[in-house]
Amino acid sequence: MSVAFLRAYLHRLGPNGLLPGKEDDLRAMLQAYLLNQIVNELGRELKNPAGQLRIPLQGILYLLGEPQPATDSRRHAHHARIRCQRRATFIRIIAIMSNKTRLSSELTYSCLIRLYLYSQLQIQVDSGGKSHHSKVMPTLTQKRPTVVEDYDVAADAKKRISLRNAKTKYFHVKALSNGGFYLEPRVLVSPQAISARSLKMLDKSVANLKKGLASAPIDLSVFAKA
Amino acid sequence: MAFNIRMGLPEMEALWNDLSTRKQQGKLDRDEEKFFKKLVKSLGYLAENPRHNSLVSHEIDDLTRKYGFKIFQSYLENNTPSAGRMFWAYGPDKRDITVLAIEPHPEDQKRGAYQRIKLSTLPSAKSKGH
Repeated sequence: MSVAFLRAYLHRLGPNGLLPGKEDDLRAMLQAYLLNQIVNELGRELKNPAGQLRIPLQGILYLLGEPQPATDSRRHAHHARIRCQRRATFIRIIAIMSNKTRLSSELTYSCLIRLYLYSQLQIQVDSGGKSHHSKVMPTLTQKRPTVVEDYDVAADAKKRISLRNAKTKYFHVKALSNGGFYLEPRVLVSPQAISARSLKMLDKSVANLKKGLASAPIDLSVFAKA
Repeated sequence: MAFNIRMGLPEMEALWNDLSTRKQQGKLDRDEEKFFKKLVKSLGYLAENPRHNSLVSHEIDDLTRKYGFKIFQSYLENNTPSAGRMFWAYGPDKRDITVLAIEPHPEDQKRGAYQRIKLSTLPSAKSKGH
């Protein structure tokens, strides 16, 4: 459909100097405008907490002629895993775009900058635990961690085990199907967040307030001395 | 009182009515008593002076952008990390303040209490075109 539309458009417009004469230049221009559109779409999806980021991200990769990332078809895949995949895809796209010499227009630089900013955004719903307060410790980026302690522990009556000389207070724990546990050290980050429950309450209250609806004034005078 | 305090949701009004009635009957349990005391104190300050130092009232820009009018946050308690907080806005009439949401202490252990949404720092729809 888009090919037919474009063909008809170019045929109708003809060589009038409005569009670049060379096919390569025209292709680069089209690509830049399409990229701009998809990045705009990405921005819109990012504004929505339930946004489908996968579609515009894959669109950008398709436009750049890159293979699509493998996606997890399970509907309830772990949020953190999806987030990591998205972050990795963002970084991959930025790297690819930076290397494309044909995409050296001002529009493309604007797309690049926006993509970088989007990659830094944190719109996320955590699936539980204290992970919303924490982020991965920088030590995890070490390529070859070495074993500094090696010991055996026994679980207590409540099936808990203790760590010795833990380097941080917080860990993200993954229990594996083979009985193993994987611990990722985490550090606290600023809790500039709002709970999903409160946001839902806010949505409803604001909708009421916009209609001019609110309860009768509450009587605080009874409890004034409290 | 300088402002009338209203509740933005029927559920919140019902909660207030329930707590205040039971308080007068002396039927609040220890945790409820503690929460109610904080709530009454904060709402009292809010009604007298929304900028009272104890409330640490401040506008939440991300929510203001999201809803299109000023949304403020005040604390229910001080000197407590991740203190309970309430979100409010002026309106619907002059001299009215509507409490939009009350968030208890995030450390409460109820299921789903930790499910949180990070606030976005995306530009507003208005400034996006520029």
